[in-house]
Amino acid sequence: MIAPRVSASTSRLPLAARVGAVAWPSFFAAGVATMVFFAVVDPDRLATITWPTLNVSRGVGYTLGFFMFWVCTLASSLFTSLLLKPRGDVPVDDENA
Amino acid sequence: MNERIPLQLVDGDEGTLYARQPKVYPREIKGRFQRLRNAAVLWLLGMFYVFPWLNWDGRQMVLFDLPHRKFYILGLTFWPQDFFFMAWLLIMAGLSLFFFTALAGRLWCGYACPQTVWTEAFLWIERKIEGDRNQRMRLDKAPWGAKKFARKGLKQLAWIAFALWTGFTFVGFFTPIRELAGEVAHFDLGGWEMFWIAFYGFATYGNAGFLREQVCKYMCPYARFQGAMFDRDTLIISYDEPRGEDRGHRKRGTPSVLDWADKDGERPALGDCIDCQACVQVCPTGIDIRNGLQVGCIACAACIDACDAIMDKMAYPRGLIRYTTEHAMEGKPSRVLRVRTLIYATVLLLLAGAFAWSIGHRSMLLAEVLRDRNALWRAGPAGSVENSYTLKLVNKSDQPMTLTLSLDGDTPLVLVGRQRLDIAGGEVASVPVTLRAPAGSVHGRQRVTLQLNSTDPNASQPVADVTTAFFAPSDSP
Ligand code: SF4
Ligand code: SF4
Repeated sequence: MIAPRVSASTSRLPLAARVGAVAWPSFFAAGVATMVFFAVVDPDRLATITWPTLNVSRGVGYTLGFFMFWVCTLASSLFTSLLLKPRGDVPVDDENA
Repeated sequence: MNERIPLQLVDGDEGTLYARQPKVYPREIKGRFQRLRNAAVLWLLGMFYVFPWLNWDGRQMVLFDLPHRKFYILGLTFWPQDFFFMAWLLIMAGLSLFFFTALAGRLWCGYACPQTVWTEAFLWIERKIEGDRNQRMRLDKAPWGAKKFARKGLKQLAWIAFALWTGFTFVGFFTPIRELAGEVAHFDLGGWEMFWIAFYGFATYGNAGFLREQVCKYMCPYARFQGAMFDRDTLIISYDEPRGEDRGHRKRGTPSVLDWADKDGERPALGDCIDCQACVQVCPTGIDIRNGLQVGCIACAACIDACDAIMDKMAYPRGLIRYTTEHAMEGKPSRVLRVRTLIYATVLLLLAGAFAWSIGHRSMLLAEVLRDRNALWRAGPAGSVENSYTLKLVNKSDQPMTLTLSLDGDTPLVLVGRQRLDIAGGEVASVPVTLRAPAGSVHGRQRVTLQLNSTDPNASQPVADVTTAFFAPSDSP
């Protein structure tokens, strides 16, 4: 049986802090991306060149756009947090230095 | 080779992996900084909840009308093409944060950050329903019974109602709030509106009701990089350690150490801190300021008020905890005017000036010319060559515009058709334009500039020009 060793030494942060560290920066980045993107692109026109048969109003367009960005940034933040997890086989040299 | 690899999830176990955070029960206090903070909270929340209901020229005063892609701010109208101004404004906001931080530390955190402001509001509700600090702690410890259930339930109800109202107001900045209110009243809210009301409401509820100081401690980027803006002349909240230590309880009427300063003889063993913990109990982030400046301190000055009240009771001079600077604490003078603040202030002023100027001078007309795609050129009457275009004009103002269209410079080309254009306020117009070259006058590609002039000679009306290309066969017959 393979049991990955994950050391807990640097992950002693409250749950809220860990969730927040992934959710909040990604939310912020998605917000900025949405603003810049929709300042240039009108969701109405975007709808006509993508799925013209669906009736997507601007409000829905912005909302979908925002969540699309958020899913991307959230995935990236999650990925980063996974990679930053301390590993049992790599010694963590003096964290407090 | 199709064996399954058994994997174990190691961090589901809260007890061992996550440090439990003790719940903070901030005690309420009175004092000058608390009054200032209350004023700030009222002012900011007032702006948030009232602004969308105010009208200006018969239109919502502040409306980021996303469904129509137009922003209205105090009589000014912004189009998506004006996004640049928004970005500029955000840069200015960021720079002001730098400036005020260098000057007075985390003023933003203690008085203006939405996290602080809404937490105060949620705390106020909590206090009204569950009572003061001791009552709240007792209630939390008490076993679940009818009374606890009623109190907690009532608080949740009040919180949720307030959060939903907040969400509603938030959406009211992006879609006309009066219409939105009508939709709510008739239960026919659009999907995305309903969603964002719930989303923003939930975020407010979670952040201000539950996460509170954890947001400041763990999620706020500003708290992490504030150090870069601080220097030894920045206002900070600090405990006067030489004066306060050694801390300890004492009999009433013991004089302050400050009274010994000019006397000969030994300093009393006890400093002025009576170790009453008042400063710790009022702290919304649950830290002890006596341990020195900490990242967790949002500079709300609650501990100053608390300690001042104790000092008054002991008949000691106030200011054991106070606003000060590192230089002042070392007995050196503090300077407000210094390279850092001067640079921030100058850049800020320049940006603000340029912003105001360009808002005042921004063109109210947006013009763009598109060539017709079907053919490069076509034959016109009497051997002439014609090209056709579509002129897209956006009147960004609220007034109708009358423009005349002409050709710029020396060119054999002539404009065919309408040359006087009327565009209503806020209209996006598509005007077909045809240019004609008399027989044999133009060969190949030629640049042309279309000019739009105002008919009103003394108005500062916009004049726009757009450049495009005119094509004619290269070898004329
Ligand atoms: S230490 Fe004082 S100023 Fe800092 S957050 Fe706590 S009460 Fe506010
Ligand atoms: S409130 Fe003042 S006297 Fe009381 S513990 Fe804090 S620093 Fe000491």
